[in-house]
Amino acid sequence: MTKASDPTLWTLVQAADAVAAGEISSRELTETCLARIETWQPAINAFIHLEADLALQMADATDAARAQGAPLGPLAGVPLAHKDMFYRTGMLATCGSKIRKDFRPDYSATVMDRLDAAGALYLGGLNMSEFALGPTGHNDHWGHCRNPWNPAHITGGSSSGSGAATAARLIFGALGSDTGGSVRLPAGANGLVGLKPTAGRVSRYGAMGLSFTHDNIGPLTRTVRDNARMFAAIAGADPNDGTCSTRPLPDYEATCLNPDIKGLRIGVPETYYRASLDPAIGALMDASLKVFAELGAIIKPVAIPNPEANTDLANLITASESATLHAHWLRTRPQDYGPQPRARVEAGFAVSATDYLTSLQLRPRIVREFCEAAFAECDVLHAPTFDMEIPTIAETDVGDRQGFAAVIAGISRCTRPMNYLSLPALSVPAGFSPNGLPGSLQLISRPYAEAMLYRAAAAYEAATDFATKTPELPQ
Amino acid sequence: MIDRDQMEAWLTECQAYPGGAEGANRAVRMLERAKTSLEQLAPGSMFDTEPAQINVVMEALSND
Repeated sequence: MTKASDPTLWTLVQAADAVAAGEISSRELTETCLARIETWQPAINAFIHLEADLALQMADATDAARAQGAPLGPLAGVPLAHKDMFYRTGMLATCGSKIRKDFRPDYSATVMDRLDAAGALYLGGLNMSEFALGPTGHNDHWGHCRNPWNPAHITGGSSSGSGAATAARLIFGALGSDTGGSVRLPAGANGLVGLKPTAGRVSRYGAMGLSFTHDNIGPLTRTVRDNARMFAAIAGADPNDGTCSTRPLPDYEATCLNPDIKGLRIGVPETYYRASLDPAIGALMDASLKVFAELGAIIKPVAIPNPEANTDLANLITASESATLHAHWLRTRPQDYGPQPRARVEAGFAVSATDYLTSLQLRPRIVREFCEAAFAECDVLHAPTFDMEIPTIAETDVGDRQGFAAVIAGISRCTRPMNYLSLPALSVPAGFSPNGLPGSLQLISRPYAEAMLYRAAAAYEAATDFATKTPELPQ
Repeated sequence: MIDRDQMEAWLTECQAYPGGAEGANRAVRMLERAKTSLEQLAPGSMFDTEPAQINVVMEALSND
């Protein structure tokens, strides 16, 4: 990708390489980002809190280390910020809520420690749906996050600020969490690359929980290679999270270099994902499949087990687990929740233990049946991230009014099935729909096949120009 | 069929949760959908299964 003159328009990899080569100091890079944040923040409300002093201290430490010839990490000197739910000792982590508006944990998340070890800077906590409950980016306490491509539209959620800040080029990448689509939806709505990894590939230690059997942590970035570099920094076994896999990590970034997808079998599900597909998004999906075919991939229709019923079980499980986590506050401080998050969590109190456990018991069998059907004759599934054009904030401002659950379910319809199924899914920009907002596709594969997703996505990205597009500051 | 009034009584009196009538309606809708799906997906005995098998299955289904 051509390197822009404005450093904020660089990719994460370009920025890291420039700092490592001494083309720019980390302090200068950080100050450039801070200036851009000052300009954009009033328009999109991406940050909940900015930690400029800390970031500049970290930048100076990077510059000093480089001057001394010390080895630098793969993200050295690069400004990042994250959904405000990843704990850092003594630092604010609001979880997008009123209840935790002053919360400062006394320990750090594994993913924060790993990004620090890779040399990344921390610029602050990003806007998010309250307690990660909501796929739109609405927030009654900290203000709605707004889409940099058009601030009247939603950012997607719940990692709303992670999408908006990265797309507006305020930072070079961000972490989000994905329980029903909360990385992929803001990636899709903002024209970014977003990964929901295989369950167990990234430690959740020190990250706010929503639903412990469905939560995943993943990066949102401008390019596929950026995503692979961030993912490599956070993935892998963690003694503090017993659900983490101990299998070794492949070289994710290497798969993005000169990617060859000749012969890769891409399956297009015949049902579910296209059942309520907006024609404009359908046209983007068809165009993307044409690109994959031109790159040598074999496109074929594939029959998948209908994930609709799985989604009902996922809803039951996440409601039950989130009610467990929120039980004390729901009983003692119900007025401190926004109406929609409260209504969503409350339903969990109605779930019986046997229904909850049966839903979990079924999971291994359903995952096996899905993979055996879906991947018998293909390597990767291709589906939309959103099956609709990105709606406006006003259109989705439903609060807890009757029918709100259907609105939520509609927005996360294409992402939620992979959380119950535990499979990796990568959201990739696929152009723009008639309303001027980004369209996006998902690539889905077998467990632990993130490297294959990166390879396919990098080939597609190189054949298109969507990653080079940048939103302009709204007037 | 789940009784909506019993659900409201359960939520408010037994769970000490102040959600009220609409909360009970939502819970009933969610449970009725889930019950239908559970009947469809788990028609037989679940005696020999347990949730932690998911980790074994995930490893087995990986392709490397």
